[in-house]
Amino acid sequence: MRHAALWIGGILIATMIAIALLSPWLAAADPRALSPGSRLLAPSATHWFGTDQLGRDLFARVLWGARISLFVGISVALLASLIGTAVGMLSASSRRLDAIVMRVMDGVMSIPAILLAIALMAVAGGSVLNVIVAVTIVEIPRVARLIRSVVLSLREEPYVEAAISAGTGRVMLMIRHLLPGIVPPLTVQATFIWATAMILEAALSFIGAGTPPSTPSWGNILADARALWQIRPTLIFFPAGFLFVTLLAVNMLGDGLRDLLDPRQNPEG
Amino acid sequence: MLGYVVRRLLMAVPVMGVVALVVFSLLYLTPGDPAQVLAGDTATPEQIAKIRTSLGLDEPPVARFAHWLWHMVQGDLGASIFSGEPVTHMIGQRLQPTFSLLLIAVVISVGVGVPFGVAAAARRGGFYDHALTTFTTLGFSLPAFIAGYGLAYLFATTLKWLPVQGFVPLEQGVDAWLRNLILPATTLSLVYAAIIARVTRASMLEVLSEDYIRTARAKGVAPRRILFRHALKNAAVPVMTVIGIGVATLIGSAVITENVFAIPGIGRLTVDAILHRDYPIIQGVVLLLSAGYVLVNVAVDLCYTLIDPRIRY
Amino acid sequence: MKRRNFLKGASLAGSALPFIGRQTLAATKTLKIIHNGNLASLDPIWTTAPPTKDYAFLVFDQLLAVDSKYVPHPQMAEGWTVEDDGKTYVLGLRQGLKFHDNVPVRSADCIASIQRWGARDGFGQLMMKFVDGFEAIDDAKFKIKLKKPFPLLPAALGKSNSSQCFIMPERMAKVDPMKQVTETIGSGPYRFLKEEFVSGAKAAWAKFDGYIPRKEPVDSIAGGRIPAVDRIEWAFISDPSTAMAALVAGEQDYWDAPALDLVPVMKADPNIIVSPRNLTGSYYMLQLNHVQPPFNNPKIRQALAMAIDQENFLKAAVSDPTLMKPVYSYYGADSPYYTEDGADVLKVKSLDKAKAALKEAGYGGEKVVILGVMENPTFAAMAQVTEDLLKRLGMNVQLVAMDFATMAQRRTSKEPTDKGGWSCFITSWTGSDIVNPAVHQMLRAAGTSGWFGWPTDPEMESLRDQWTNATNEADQKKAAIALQVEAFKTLPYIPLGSLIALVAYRKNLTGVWPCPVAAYWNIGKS
Repeated sequence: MRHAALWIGGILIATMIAIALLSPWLAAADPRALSPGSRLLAPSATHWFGTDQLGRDLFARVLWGARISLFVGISVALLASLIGTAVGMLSASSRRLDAIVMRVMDGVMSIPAILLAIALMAVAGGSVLNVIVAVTIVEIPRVARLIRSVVLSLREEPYVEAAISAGTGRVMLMIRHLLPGIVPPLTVQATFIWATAMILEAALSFIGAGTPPSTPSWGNILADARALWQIRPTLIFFPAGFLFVTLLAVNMLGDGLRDLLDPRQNPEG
Repeated sequence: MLGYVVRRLLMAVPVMGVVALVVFSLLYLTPGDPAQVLAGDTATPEQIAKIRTSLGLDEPPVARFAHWLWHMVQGDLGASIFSGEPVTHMIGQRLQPTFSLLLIAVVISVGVGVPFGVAAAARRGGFYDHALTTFTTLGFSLPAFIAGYGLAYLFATTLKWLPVQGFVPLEQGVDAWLRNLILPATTLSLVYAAIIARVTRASMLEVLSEDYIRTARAKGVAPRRILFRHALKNAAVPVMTVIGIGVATLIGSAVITENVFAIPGIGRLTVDAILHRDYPIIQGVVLLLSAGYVLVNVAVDLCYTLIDPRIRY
Repeated sequence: MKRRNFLKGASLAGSALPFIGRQTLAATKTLKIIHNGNLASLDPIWTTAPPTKDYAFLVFDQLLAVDSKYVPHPQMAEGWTVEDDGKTYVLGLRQGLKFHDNVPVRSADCIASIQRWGARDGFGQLMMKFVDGFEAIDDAKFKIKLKKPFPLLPAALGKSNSSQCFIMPERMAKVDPMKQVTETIGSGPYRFLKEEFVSGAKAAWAKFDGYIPRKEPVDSIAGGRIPAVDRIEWAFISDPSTAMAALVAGEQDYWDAPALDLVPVMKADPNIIVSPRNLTGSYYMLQLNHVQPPFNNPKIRQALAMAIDQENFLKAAVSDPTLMKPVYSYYGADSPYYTEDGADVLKVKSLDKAKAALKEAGYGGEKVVILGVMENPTFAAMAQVTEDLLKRLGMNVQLVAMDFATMAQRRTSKEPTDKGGWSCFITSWTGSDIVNPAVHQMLRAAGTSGWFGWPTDPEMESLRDQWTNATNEADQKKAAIALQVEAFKTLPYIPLGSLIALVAYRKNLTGVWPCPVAAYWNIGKS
C-alpha cells in the first residue's frame, strides 16, 4: 500500500496508452467516416457509444481521441521539460543572462495560459502540431523556474562547491553532479505538465481554437457535444469520462512519483 | 517598506514590457484582418482598403507599436476597432463581473482549502488526510468546463436552486449578485481549493514538526489552539504564496467559466476580441491582466510582513 | 463552509424575491432576448453584421418598407409620387415624426441618410448610379431626380436585407461612411440606452414615447411598428445549452437563433413555443474559386455539382426532416423568380457519374483547400461533409479549420492553394438576400472585381443588366430565369439547400409575427 497511488495511476495510464495504440483494432469503425443519415443515435450493438452529430461512431472517436490527448500530453511534457531545463540551466549559469531570461519567463507566465494559447493558436492555425507548440510555450517557464531554483540551491551544496573548486569541467559538473539532483523534481513536474497539457488541449478544442474538428480529440468531441448533451448525454459522458480517468491516472502517477523520488516536496515521506 | 514596494513595482516594468512586446508581435503575426470582418460580405476591395487606412492598419508594425506604446504610457489604450469605444471604458465595464467571480472563488477556495488542509495535517494518515488526497486529486482531474456543466445541470436545471447563467451587478442587490455567482465560483474553485488544501497540509506538517510546537504540546496547550494559533500562523507564508501564484491559473479558468455561465467578464471580452482581431482590446486586456498578476503578488509579499513579523523588507 | 455559504445565498434570495417582483415585473414590462451574435458596432451603414442590423431596426426607422411579398410601402413616408416619366420621385414625410432627442425629422435628414447608405450598400450603389440629385422642397417633402428611370427605387429604399436605408439625423448621416457614427439617435420605436450597453455582453432599449406608429397591420417589415413593452434587453449567450436552460427556466423570454438540435427538447416544454419566424429561411452554398485550379475548370465544377446530394449536407446540420428543404434554384423559395429551370446538374446526385465526369474533365490531382469556419456548427458540419465527399470523389483535399476573421482575410487571396489561396468554402445567406438579381451578391460573374470566387461570365452580367433595365414584370422574370439557367452552366457557387430558421419564446409573449429580420417591435408580454 505504500505506493498505491503510483501503482493505480501507472496501471490506469498503461491501459489508456494500450487503448490508444490499439484503437485501430479495438474500434471497427473509421472515426472520421461520416454518415449524416444516422446522426445522434443512442448506444447500440453496432455503435457501442452511439453516434455524433455527423453520424460518426462515438466509440471509435473516443478511442482514437485517446491518441491525440495522450500524444499532446506526453509531447508537451517532454518538450517543455527539455527546453525548460535548457533555459533554466542557461539562466542559472550567468547572472546577466538570468536577469533577462527570467524577466521574459515572468512575462510569459503572467499572461493567463489559456489566453496565451488561444492567441498562439490564432497565429498558427488549428492543427495538432500547433496545439503542442502553443501549450509547450505556455509550460516552458514553469520548468525553467523550477530547474533554475534547483540548480541554484544545488550549487550551494558542499559537494558541488568542492567539485567546482577542484576544477571539474562545466559539462562534467552538469552530468555528474547537477543532473541527478534535477531529475527527480523534473520527473514529477513533467507528470503534472502532462496533465495540464491534456486539460489545455481539451479546453482549446472545446472553445474551438485547438485540434481541427475532423480529428477526433476529446476536447473536440466535447465541443461538438456542448449543444447536444441535453438530447444525447452519452455524447458528453463518454469523452468526459475518459478524459477524467486519464487525468486522474496521470495525477496519481505524479503524486506517487513525488512520494517516491522527491520526498523534500512532501514532508510525508 | 515603501522603498521595497517601489522597487518591486519598478521590477515589474520590464516584465510588462516583455508582455507588451510578446502580445504585439503575436498580433502582428496573426492572420485575419479586422477590416475584412468589419466590412462585411458585400464590401468591395476599395472599401476594405479605405477601412484599413482609416483604422491605421496599413502603417508599418514598428510605427504601430511605437504609436500604441506612446499612448499607453499616457494612459490611453486606444479604441476598439469594432465598437469605436475606448478600450479603458470597455474593460472597465467588464471588471466587476470578473472581480466578483474571482473574489467569491478565492473566498470559497480559502474557506474550504485551508481548514481541510489543517484538519488533514492534524492527524496524518487519518480520515481527513485520506479524504484530502482523494478530493484534491479529483479536483485536479476535473476540467472546469465539465465541472461547470455538471454543476449547472444538477443545481440549476434539475433542482432549480440557482440561476443557470448571467450576472447581476452588486448595485442590484447582494443576494441576487451572490446567487448568480455561486455556481461559476464553485466551478472555478475546484482546482484552486485543491492546490490551497495541499499546500496548507504540507506546510502545516512542516511547522508541526518544529521544536516550539513540541514544547507547546509538552506544556499542555490545547491541540486546537496549537493548530490554529501557533502552527497555522507560521504555515501561512507558503499558503499566501500559492494564493498569489494561483490567481493566474484562476484567471485562465475564468475564461472558460464565463463562457459556460454567460458572465460578461474580461474573459469573454478577450476571447471575442481574439476571434475578431480587435487588436487594441487584446493588447489592453493582456497588459491589464499581467499588471494585476504582478500587483497581487506584491500584495501577497506585503501580507507576509503582517503574518510573520520575522519577515522585513 | 462551502455548504453554509451556499445555503445562506439560497435563503437570502428566497426572501428577496417578492421585492424584486414588485419592482420590475409590475412597474415595467421587459422583453428579455437571448441574442446569439455579438453587438459590437452601433452603425448599421458601416457594417452589415446581423446584430447591428437588429439593433438598428429598433432604434431607426425607414422611409419605405417592403411587405412579405417584397412590395414596398410607405413607412416614415406619407407616400410617394413618380413624375417626369419616371425620372423624378417625390417623397413626403408623415407628420409629427421625431428623433429620440425630440427634434423633428426633416427632409435634410432623409437626404443625407440616403446618400450615406448609397455609398455603402450594394443595392444603394446601384441606385445612386441612376440618381442625378436630391432636392428638399420643404422640411417634410423632397425630390429624388434620376438620370434615367429606375423603377426599383422604392424597393431599394425599403429593402429588408443586409444594409437597409435607415434614417438618421443629418449630423450623424454626414459622418464619413467609412467611419462609425458615435451617436445612437434614431426615430424608431425604441430608444437605445447607451449607458447600459456593454459591448458583446448586454444591451437595453426603452420605449420611445414620441413614436407614432402607422395604423396598418404589421406585414414583414411594413405596417405599424408598435413599441409593445417598456424595455427590451438583450443578453449575449454563446453557449447553446446555457441559452436553452435560461429560456426554459424563465430567466429569458425569447431566443432568436436556437440550436436546431435542441428544438425537440423545447417543443416538449409546454411553456415554450418554437416556430419559424423568418419564413425565407437560411440558404447554404458552396462557394468555388474560379481563378485557381481545379475549380477554374468548368467541367470539374460540373462534375462536383453532380456528386452533391443536398440532403446529405442538410442532414449533417439537423435531424428533423421538416426543418430542411433542398433547393434547386439560385433564388430563394419565396422569390418571384424561383424555378428549377436549368438545375438538372444538381439532380444527378451520383458519385459514379461524378467520378466519370471528373476523369473526363481531366482532373490532375490538384489540391483542393476547403476553408472551414468552425465557430458556426452548421458551417463546420457542412465543411466536413464537403471534405468527406471530395475524398470519396478521389480529389486531393485538405480542410483548413479557422475562425471567421482568418477566413474573411484568406478568401480574398487569388493565389494558388499552396501560396495561401483556397478552393471552396461554405457560406449562407437569408432568403431576402437572394430574392432578386439586384440584391443577390453571388449571382454575379463580373470576374476579379466581384465577390470572392470571382466567376467570369459576360452572358450572366448582360442578363443581369437586362433585368435591371426591364420595364415590366414579364420581361424582368424572363431575364431573371435566363440568368439562373446560365448560372447553372457557369456555377458561380453550388446551392446546398435551405434550413428553416426558428425562434423559441415563452408562451406569454404576444404578437410574434413572421419577419425576415429579427425585429422586436409589436412583441408584447402578458
